[in-house]
Amino acid sequence: MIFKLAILNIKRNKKRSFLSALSIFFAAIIIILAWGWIDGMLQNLIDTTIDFQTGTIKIASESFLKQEKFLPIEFYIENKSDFIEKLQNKLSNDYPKVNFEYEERLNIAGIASKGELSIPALINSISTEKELTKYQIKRRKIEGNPEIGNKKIIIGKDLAKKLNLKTGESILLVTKTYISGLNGIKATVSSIVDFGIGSFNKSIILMDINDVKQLAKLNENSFVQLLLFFDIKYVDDILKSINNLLVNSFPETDLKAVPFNVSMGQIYGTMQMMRKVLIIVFAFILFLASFIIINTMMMNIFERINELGTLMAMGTTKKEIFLLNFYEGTIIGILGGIPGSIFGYLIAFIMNKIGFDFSKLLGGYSMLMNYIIRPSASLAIFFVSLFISCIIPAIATIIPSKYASKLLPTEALRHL
Amino acid sequence: MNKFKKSKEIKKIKKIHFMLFFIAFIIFIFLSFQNEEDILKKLDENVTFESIHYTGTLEIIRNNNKIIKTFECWAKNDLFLIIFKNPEDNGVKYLKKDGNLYVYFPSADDVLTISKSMMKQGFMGSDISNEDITRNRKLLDDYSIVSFNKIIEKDNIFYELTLQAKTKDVPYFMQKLIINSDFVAIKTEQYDLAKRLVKTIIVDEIKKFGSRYYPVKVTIQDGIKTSYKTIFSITDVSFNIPIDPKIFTIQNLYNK
Repeated sequence: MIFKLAILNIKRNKKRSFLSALSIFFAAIIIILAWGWIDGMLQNLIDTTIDFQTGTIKIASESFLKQEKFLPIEFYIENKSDFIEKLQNKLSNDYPKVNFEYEERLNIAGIASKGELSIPALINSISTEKELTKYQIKRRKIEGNPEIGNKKIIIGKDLAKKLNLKTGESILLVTKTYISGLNGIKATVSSIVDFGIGSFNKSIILMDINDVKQLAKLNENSFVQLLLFFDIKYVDDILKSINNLLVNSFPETDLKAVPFNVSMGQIYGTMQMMRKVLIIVFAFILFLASFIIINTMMMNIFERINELGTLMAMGTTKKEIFLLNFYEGTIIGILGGIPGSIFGYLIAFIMNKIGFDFSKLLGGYSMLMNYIIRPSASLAIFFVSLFISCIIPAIATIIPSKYASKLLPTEALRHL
Repeated sequence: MNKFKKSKEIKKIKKIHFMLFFIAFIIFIFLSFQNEEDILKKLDENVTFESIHYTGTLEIIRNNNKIIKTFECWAKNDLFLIIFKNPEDNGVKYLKKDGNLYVYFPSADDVLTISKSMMKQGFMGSDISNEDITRNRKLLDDYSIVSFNKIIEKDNIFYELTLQAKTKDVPYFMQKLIINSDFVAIKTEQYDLAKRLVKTIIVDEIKKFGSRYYPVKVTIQDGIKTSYKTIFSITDVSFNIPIDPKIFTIQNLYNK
């Protein structure tokens, strides 16, 4: 009965109810889009770091990990094939349903030289075809046919420009060898690409893993770092399995397995904290939007104060008066919140599929971030937005509802 | 009147005495500096030659690892050519010519010109920088003496000098040298602009070649990473021998 009365009241002044619902509708859209953008940027940073630096789990010697920023190559591990075989057997037995990808990485600091020009460069190894697809080379090539192997290289557009390089031309690549010497090899540029990451365009050269090893004079059956890629939800369990293998089967080495969140260090912790803070910030935004409902409800109460007095005189209890106003505000909130969340999610979903190119803005930065930013459109964001856009207006309605329930019938009837 | 004349003469004599004393003081100061500069000149003379040829060894020590590299060196005035002989670096050549440093890599059959930004890097991964090996200026050209001490220890005379750079265009802002009586710097501490110790060079062995005393074994220790050091030693040393200038050309680097 009270609920029906609340709906009737909403219908009585459709324009005002519509405007109140509209404020919640837009607030819900803003929440989903703003959250989607920020979450998309954070996820972009995490995904790019996992893909290019940390893997889901990285295995390397402890000495290497301590000095990783200097890209040391002297801390290599012998018998790569034996190690990978044992690791694959262990993980496929322990986690038969998890899909694992193994990538060997050997990134070295070097010099790219053409004639009198010498420019510092980062030579990144490519060990699998799949690894090459992470760079989205085919989509991003500017010229040439992206190929590696047989001393063919793929080079970032800004580095190529500095060296005045064209595809098919040769350059001298020089680096420190694992025994503290210097070595150089001639390499042919197969393709010039826009990696989509500013720092990569300025310094990255992609080269086949065996060519990089030849340059650093490392044995082909050795490795410096091995990256494992799998669904991050299994990271803790798989880390335990790998640690068991390292302790039991490779006790003589100082090999260590490090999950991506540890490799990323404080940045990852800060990102997770930012995500939590965002929920509070968006709840606050919605609370501010709910003030329109509070305002509408207060206006309602003042306009219909005589009606409330009549209802009270007819025996309607204070609780029923409170519920009448509470239902009214909550329904308006739901009427705005549900379509707002759905519409916001749809926009975010479309934006996620399209992606936005920020190359002009991010091109100058050395941040490990993909130029193409895709706002997140996860169901988690949708449900959280739906929840807070329905709950907060309901909470906000308590204030005018309590005011109405506290009115005395005599006081209300005086307005007749 | 006489009294007045006498006092004037006394004043004149005092003035002359003061002038003589001042001149003597200036000469003393000048001579004492000359003395220190002479020490540096003699130090420079010991390591200056028209030409040299030797076989060298670099023992690069990194914590518990030791890497040994062998090479042959020819140098004439401001030119030098170094050819590495150890199996891992066999055929790598360094050429200094016209103030530039070139490196030839046999695996690429190509030459890299070492840029200014690479001059601070270690020569073949050692604790000697590319800048150290290419610099051929006399100490007095770049540094001024800021302190000098003469130490007598067990009947041996040592000179302790602190040098400070005259310009910023030097690899080390300050150097502390201990020079022995044969005018060889037996210990050199090199500091950066913030007066942090960059490296310490200790001469382990000195040999006499004619009238010249020349260090033949030197330890270069990193100022920060104390477990990092390089022992540089030379054998089969010949001074002032005829060397064909053609070997100091870029074309010659490509010759097998």
